[in-house]
Amino acid sequence: MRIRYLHRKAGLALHVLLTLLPLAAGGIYALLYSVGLAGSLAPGFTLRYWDSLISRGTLWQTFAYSAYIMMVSVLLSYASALALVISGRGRLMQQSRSRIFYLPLAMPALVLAFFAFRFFSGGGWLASLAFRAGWIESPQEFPELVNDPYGVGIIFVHFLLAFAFFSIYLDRVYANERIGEQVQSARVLGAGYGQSLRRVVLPMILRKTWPAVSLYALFVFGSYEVPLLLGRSSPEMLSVRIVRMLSRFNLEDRPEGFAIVFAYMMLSVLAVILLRKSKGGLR
Amino acid sequence: MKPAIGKILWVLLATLFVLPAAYLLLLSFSSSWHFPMLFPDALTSKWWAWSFASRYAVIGGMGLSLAIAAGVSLISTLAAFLSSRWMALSRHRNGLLLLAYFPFVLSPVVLAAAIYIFFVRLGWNGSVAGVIFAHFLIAYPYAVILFSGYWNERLLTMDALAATLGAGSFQRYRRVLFPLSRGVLALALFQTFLISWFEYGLSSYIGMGRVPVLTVQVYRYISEANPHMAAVASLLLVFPPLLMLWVNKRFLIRLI
Repeated sequence: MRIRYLHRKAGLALHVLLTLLPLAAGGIYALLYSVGLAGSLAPGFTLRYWDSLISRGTLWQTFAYSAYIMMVSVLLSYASALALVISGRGRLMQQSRSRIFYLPLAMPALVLAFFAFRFFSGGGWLASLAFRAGWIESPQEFPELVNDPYGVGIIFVHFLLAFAFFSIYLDRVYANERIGEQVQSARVLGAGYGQSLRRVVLPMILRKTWPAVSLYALFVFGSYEVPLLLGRSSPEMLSVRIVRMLSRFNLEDRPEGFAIVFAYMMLSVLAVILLRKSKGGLR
Repeated sequence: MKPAIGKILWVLLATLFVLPAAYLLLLSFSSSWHFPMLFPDALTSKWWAWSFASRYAVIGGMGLSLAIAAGVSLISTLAAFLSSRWMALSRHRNGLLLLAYFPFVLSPVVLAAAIYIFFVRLGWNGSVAGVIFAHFLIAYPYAVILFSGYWNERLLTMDALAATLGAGSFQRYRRVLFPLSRGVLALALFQTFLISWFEYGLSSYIGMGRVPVLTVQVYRYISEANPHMAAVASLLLVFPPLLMLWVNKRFLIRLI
C-alpha cells in the first residue's frame, strides 16, 4: 500500500515536472536574458532592452497586431459557423455530406498557408483569372492579398480552419443541449423568432462554448506557420517576430526577443488563470 | 432555410473545403503552372517519381515523421493515462490539471525558443531524440486534458473493486482499465499523433533543420521556390489524417 502511494506521488511529481518545469525554466531564462543576466555576452543587470522595446512601441505593435488577427479570424469564423448551425437547426452534421467539414481539419496550417500563397498572390491563380478576364494587365495590378499589412491571407487560412471546427463543435452543442426543443417551448409561450434567438439560442450557445473559443483564440494569437508564409516583416505576428529576433546575428536583438517571450508567457499564464477562475470557464 | 439557398450554400462550402486539396493535387501533377495560366500546360508524374528518389528523400522524411509521431503518441498517451488516473485520485486534481493548460496554450515555437538553451546544454538539439522529447512536451498536456473528464466514479469504483478482489496494479491496467478505455485511448493516440505530425515550428527550431520531418521539407521546398515538390510533400502530409477521417471522423476533432 505504501509503495503504491509512493508510486502515485512520484507520478504526480513527474507530471508537475513535465508541465511546469519547461515553462518555468524557459520563462526564468527569458527574463534573465532580457535584463542582461544570461547569455554568452551578458552585460550585467540592465533594463535598457525592455526600455527600448517599450519606447519604440515594438512590444505593443506586435501584441496589437496578433490580437487584431486573432479577433477578426475568430469572430468572423464563429459568427459564420453560428449562423450556419442556427439555420440548420443543429442537424447539419447528421447529413452524410457533412463529412466535407472535416477536410480542412485534415490539413496542417502550413499546407493551407502554402495553398493560400499560391492562390492569392500577385502571380497566383486568382490573379491569372483576373488577367484572363481583362481586369488587370500585370500581376502588380492585382490587390495584395498575401504578405499584406492587413493580414488578409492569414485571416483567410485561420477562418477556413476555425469555421470548419466551429461548425462541427457548435452543431454538436446545439444538439446536445437540446436547444431546438428549448426554442420550440419559447415559441409556444409566445416568443417571436428574434426573441427566441436573443433570449434562448445565443445565451445558451455562448455560455457553453466560450471556454473552447477562448482557447482557440489563444492558438491563433500564437500561430506561427501561417504568418510566416503569408505575413510581412512589419507589422508582424508575435511568434514570427520572436523567432526572427532570436535568430538574428545582431546580438542586441536577442535580449529584446527574450523580453517578448517572457511577456507572452506571462500573458498566456494569466489568460489560463482567468479562464479557470471565471464562471463556466475551464474545468 | 429555403432548399435552393441550402443547395447553393452546400456547393459553396464544398468548393471552399475541397479546393485546397484539389489545387495541390493538380499542382503536384503539373509540369509547369505559372501566371497567367489557369490550368497546367501538361501533366506529369515526375514530381511524384522524384519524391521516391533518394536525392529528394521526401519518402524518407515521411517515414521519419511517422516514426516520431507514432512514438510521441504512444508515450504521451500512456503517460497521460497513468497520470490522469493518479490526478483523479488526488486532492489537488484541479491545480494539477491547471498546470497542463499552461504548455497547452503556449505557441509551440515560442516554447521551443524559451527552452532551446537547455536542449543545447543536454546535446539534444538537432537530434531526433530532442525533437521527440519536444513534441512530447506539448502532446502530453493535451492528452492529460483529454483524459481529465474520463475518470468518472464508475470507472474508479471498478478499479477499486478489482483491487479488493486481489488484482495487482499491472493486472488492473491489463484486465480492467485498458479494455474499458479502448475508445478514449484510441482517440488520444490518434490526436497526439496528429499534434506531432502537424508540428512545424517546434520541429524546425529544436531540430535545427537537421531532422527532416515532412513539415520541415514542405517549408524547405516552398523557400526553394519548388512548388511542385512542396505540393507532393503537402499531399503526403495530408494523407494520414485523411485516412483517419475515413476510419473515424471523431479522430480529427481536437480541443473539445
